[in-house]
Amino acid sequence: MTNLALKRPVQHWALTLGTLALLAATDLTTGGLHSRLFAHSDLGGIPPGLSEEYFTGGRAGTVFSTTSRCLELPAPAVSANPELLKKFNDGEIIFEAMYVTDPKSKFGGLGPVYLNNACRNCHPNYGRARRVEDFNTQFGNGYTVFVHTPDGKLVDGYVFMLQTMAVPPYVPTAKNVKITWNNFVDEHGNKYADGTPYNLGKAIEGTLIYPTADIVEPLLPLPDNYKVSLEATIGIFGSGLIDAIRDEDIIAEFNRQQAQPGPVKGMHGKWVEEPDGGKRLGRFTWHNTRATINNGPGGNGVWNVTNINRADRPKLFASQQWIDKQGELGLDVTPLASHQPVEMSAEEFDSFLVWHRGLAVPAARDLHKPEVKRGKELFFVAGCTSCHKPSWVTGDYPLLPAFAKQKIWPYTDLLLHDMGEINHGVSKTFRTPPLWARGLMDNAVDHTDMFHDLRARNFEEAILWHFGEGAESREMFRKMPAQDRAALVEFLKAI
Amino acid sequence: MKSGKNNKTDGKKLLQRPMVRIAGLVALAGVVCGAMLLPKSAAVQAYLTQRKIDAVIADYADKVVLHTLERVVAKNEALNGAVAQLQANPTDAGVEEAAKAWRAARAQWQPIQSFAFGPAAFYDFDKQVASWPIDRPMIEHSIAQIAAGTLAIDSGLLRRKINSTQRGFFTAEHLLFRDGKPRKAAAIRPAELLYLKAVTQAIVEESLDFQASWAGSANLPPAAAARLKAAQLPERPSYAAEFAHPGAPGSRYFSRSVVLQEMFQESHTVVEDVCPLIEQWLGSTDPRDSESQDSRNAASDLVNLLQGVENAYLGGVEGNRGRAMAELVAAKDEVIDRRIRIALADVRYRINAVGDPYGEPAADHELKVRIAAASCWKLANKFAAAIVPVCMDPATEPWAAYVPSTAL
Repeated sequence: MTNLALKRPVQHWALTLGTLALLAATDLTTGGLHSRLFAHSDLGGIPPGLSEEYFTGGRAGTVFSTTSRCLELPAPAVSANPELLKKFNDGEIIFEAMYVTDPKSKFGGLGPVYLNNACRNCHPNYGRARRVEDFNTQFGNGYTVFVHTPDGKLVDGYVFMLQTMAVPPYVPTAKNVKITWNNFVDEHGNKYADGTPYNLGKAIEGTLIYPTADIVEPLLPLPDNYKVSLEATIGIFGSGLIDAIRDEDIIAEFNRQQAQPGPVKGMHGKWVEEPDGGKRLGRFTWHNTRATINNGPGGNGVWNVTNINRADRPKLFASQQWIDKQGELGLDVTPLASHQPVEMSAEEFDSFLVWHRGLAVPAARDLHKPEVKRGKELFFVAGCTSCHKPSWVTGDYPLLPAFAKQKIWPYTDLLLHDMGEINHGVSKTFRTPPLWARGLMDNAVDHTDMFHDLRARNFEEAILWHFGEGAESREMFRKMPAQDRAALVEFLKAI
Repeated sequence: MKSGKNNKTDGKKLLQRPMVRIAGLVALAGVVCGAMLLPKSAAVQAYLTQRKIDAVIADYADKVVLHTLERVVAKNEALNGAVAQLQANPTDAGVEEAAKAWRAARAQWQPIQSFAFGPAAFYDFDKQVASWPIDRPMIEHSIAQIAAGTLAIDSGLLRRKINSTQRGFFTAEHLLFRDGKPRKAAAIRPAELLYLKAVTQAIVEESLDFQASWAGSANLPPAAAARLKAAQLPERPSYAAEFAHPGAPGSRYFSRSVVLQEMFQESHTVVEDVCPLIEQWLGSTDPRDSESQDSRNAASDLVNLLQGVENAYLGGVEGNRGRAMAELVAAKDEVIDRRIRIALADVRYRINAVGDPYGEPAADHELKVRIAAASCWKLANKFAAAIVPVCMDPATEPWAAYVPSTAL
């Protein structure tokens, strides 16, 4: 029932607006209390007297929802504008669409070589991918696969999103990816300083795991020392607000870290040449390789995962080596080498970008609770904020002007950090990921899998996988009394 | 006439009478107690409202969700059985029986949209069981491989290795129907029947998984649990148990309000989805503008979506209803409740009155479509009007995630 599902989130938001509109009528039936609840309700329903930290996405980018639909709502900046809301609605259709190979069909044009057939499949319910054992898992598996040499260079012919699907008669780059989950025991025997095992009282008590991967039936040659590394998708919400952060502010944070004593020395992303000829600072992907939504996770992801082509992405996303190999197999490569038909119009793409940048961040929760307050203190004491910079103020953002000058709370410095050899994948450095709304993953996606390859099964493990520049904070956490460790986790769930 | 002094004396004497004194004390106590109880009446009222809401939520989980899923599995089993019969004995009558079972299964599936939050949203059960559009060239490719003996198809392979756009209700529909009618048995190739059987088997397994996600694998009948295990589907805890206990330790639902938001919002959005679809599907003479293009089941699809909303609103299917969302609405505004009930019936009547959009064009067809759509929007508006009073009632603790309840 795709049609039905496509429109649902917007209508949830429409309902929220309707909710506000009906407030006056509600006063009559509920004693007038709701006018207090919506005292600051020009952009959305807001409880009274909240501190600014509750507004994780700023006033224009925060919604107050904890339902299973909480990650898919449009920001107040969008819902306040009927024209934007219409585009948001249309753009969401693309995110939800199940693409098919039949070019004559609705949502046609999938392939001829691809990774998955819908954005949503890798971003389940608008959230983070979940840990899987079977790479073929269609719904919820958001792994991208890198085939590379130990120095992080991709093996010739293997694009950075390994394509394991192809439309016959073409043959994919690999038939499958074999994922193996391995046990890991740290130098402390997976125990805290007080002697209690990690994951105390859970079925997974005393364990940590991490994945290794290999490709099945590779089509192209591989060097002897090739490696296969996994990286998973993260949530999409709040991307527009990250997009709105000024390059110079990220550079300022980089300079601050370089000047400060201690091991934390984040590196900024590369300068990326944008289609308009200007250069912007990388801030998206696990390695800060993309600078803007338009030319990054939004603009590219919708093309290179599915190979749905558009006028500004007319070429097939595939390596020349893969195309040549199809020729060697006796297949007609003419359709592969030439410009592809336009399968997504400029108007559709524009709507898709409005949707992408307009997704709201759910408000923080429970910040008033003593345990959460204690956890916040410990978050600072343990030095977590060295990388997980709590807040930013966005710059001007002509693409969505209401997102300008918003104080937001993503808890990331947007810099790359060395996370230690055990986390070494295609690279040893990773962008500090935003922490906002992690506590709602379970509400929206039914899991708490985290880290670049989803090796952390919960918040506790996510902290314990901090090595390299994060090792000191990890050790402080490991030495905390159980009550403080719990408080720190509660804080992470709250933000 | 007695003097004033005498009146005072009489009053003293009156107060000295035991019965009068007792009555006076009782009255005084009544006033004092009444004054003491007055502030508490709001708390008592909130308590009573909460108990009522708890009963509604419990019956929603039991009589709406779990009961619907039980019926879904049963109808899908019947479809799978009819296809097995067809495969064993491919006759025109067999195709007609399977096509009939398909329509029944499809009708039973549509009501799940009113609870498409939670597990359905986490695991995309609708995109598994009813993926749309379907990938016709790829389906044909697999069938050709089966015919050539290079592909051994089964439900596990379909679920684990092949995109959902090549299975589910619309793939089954494509193999059973053409131009709104069951296909002729002679036109269905043996490889198509093999593929169809794998498709309907996969539908059963995926709908069982959906049922398990709400009921909990441990609470399923042994035979169903065994089938899930055989299909290598995961063990699932009971979402219903968590859903029915908002605010309890471990529940993802901070308060009753959040649960009510899920229930009301999902039903409301189904209605809001149906309204434009009435014009899009029934206003077009091209079956390809609807989802069920081979069976031409569009009107039924819409009516059954609304049936799901009615089941949710009235607390279950007719004959097995419990405490209902309607009760909460009526407690706030009886008029809105009545109007919703009337509007639900009216939209379905109006949709049915449109008639076959693909048959002989009726002169008033467009008018009927517009009337049906307008009726639907009226229902949507009435539904929206009911939501705030119920979901934002302070007794439901709408802001429990953000501020202590004592702060409001």
